[in-house]
Amino acid sequence: MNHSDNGGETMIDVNEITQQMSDLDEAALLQSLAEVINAGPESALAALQACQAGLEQVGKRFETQEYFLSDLIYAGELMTDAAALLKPALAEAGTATLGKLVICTVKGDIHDIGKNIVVTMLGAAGFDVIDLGVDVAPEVIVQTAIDNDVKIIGLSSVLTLAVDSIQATVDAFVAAGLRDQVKIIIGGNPVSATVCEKTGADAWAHNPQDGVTICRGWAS
Amino acid sequence: MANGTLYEQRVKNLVDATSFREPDKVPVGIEVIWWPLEYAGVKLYDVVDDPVALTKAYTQFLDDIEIDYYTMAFGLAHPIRVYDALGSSQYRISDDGTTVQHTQAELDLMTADEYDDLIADYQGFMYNVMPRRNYKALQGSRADAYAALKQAAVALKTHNETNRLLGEAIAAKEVVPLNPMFGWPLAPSFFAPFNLLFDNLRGVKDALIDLRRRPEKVNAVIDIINSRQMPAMVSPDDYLNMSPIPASWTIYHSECFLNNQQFDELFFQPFKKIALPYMEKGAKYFLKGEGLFLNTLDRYRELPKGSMIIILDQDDPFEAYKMIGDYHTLATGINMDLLKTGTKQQCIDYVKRCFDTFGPGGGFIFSPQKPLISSYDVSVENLIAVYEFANEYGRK
Repeated sequence: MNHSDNGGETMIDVNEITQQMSDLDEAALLQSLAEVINAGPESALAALQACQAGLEQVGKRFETQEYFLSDLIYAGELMTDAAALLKPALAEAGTATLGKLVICTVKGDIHDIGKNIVVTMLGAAGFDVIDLGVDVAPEVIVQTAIDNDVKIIGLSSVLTLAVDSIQATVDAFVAAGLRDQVKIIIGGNPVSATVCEKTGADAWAHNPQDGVTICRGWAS
Repeated sequence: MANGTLYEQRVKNLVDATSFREPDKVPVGIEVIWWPLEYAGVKLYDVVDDPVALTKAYTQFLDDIEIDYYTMAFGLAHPIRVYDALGSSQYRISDDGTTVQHTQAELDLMTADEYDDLIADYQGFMYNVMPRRNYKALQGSRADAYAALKQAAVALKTHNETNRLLGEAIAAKEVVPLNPMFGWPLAPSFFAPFNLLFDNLRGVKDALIDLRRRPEKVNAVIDIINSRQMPAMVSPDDYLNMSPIPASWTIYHSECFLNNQQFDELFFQPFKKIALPYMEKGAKYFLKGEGLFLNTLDRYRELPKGSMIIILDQDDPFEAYKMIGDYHTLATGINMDLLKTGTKQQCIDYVKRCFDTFGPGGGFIFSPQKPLISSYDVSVENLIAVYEFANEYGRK
């Protein structure tokens, strides 16, 4: 990895890190990050941002069907590991996140595979994810959003019988007077544009990359 | 096998349609899981221990909806009382009282460190370590575990009796099993060994990451699974004298997650190696896809024309048709979104468009793109209208 001395901290080659993340080259990425850890907090922050840029490239390669879901999942794992590796060095720099997000599988549905994949990817993208698990009642989701000042809600489901729970959750935010203060995205097997419109959600997604892109757009 | 004229006509129509000859009637089929009980107004827990009552309720929809074939085995997939006896909650009856849900969240999965244990003693790991880990009833004394296993065996017997009665009931209707899965001299089926890691041992995320981080371990497990496969029931030459319907089968589980290289290595090349000798002698294979998998379809041109019957899931059938519709049969015709939320006329219009597009020249059999699982899946009014239309419009 190229270095140049910048007086205080050693500069790092962010482009190289971005490319390593984009190429899903775990060995090279971890070696680069190991060198960064001792370079100082600003370098660690630059490295984290480079990883996130690489993750965005992964998303683009997914959209062009160069990458597939297994690659997205692996990228999310790499990003999670990278963030954990850099965390001690980042403490001084302070890192901004994209904000908090609540996600769960709605009441009556106990499937969690898709949700868990999205949780990893949202965390990798920079969100503070509050994962409430499965079979979560609307009032719990609303209260969690209130307690944590959360503006983005992700609702997952696999069975069509859970669509009513999605509706109930949206209605719960309305009843709490919070509907216009949150964005609600729904995902999973039974969701569609029709279901989104019918339930009053703001957006829907079938693949995790689309979900992350939508949430990132809301956060910015 | 039933020997009625109607059954033979249905088999002929299926053979013709899947061999790119226009059939006398486009075959109409369905896949159902728990929805039939909802249709009959019956809760699963009220009948699960009564095979006769369950069978009567489960088959009630056949009085109102005519089908020529059914996809997958016509029966109950999950012996829920067996899981109850073993102290597992990975399968649960939903709040609607009918739909059985499955979750990986309840599983205590294999860790990455345990690959060597699995490879060193596959049978011991699969039959001793994992069951004790995931079934609470097996975690106590030997006597308690034995009692639980006995209870599970009794429950399995009841489950099997239900499925036997269901098989008799569907046979009495002269409905053709497109893919009976059991009890039929079929070409060898194919279920990618990687799916054992994906579904049962490592879970979705970790199994996929293992492909990158420890591929040699994954391959070692796959080799073991392959070495334990049962020999084929029939030889390829047997297919020269057999009807290709019922067909043999393969299923996507992890496959819609895999990238192209992984898909080829873990699924398509092994599948082709097993299936091609039989396909060259006339066998057909039924592919039940899950998720989005248009990217996988071009490969099937490496196989004999008409050897595959592909049931789509989330993909647009009109896009799939452009890719492969001239070469292999598509089982499609209506999506669940329309069946649930569309008007009756919208549903019929869509079905007509499918028949008009996919039907000419054969290569099309009608099926909803997803199984009917739970009570909320479809509007019954729409479903009945669609099947009335499909059964009539598809006749010559």
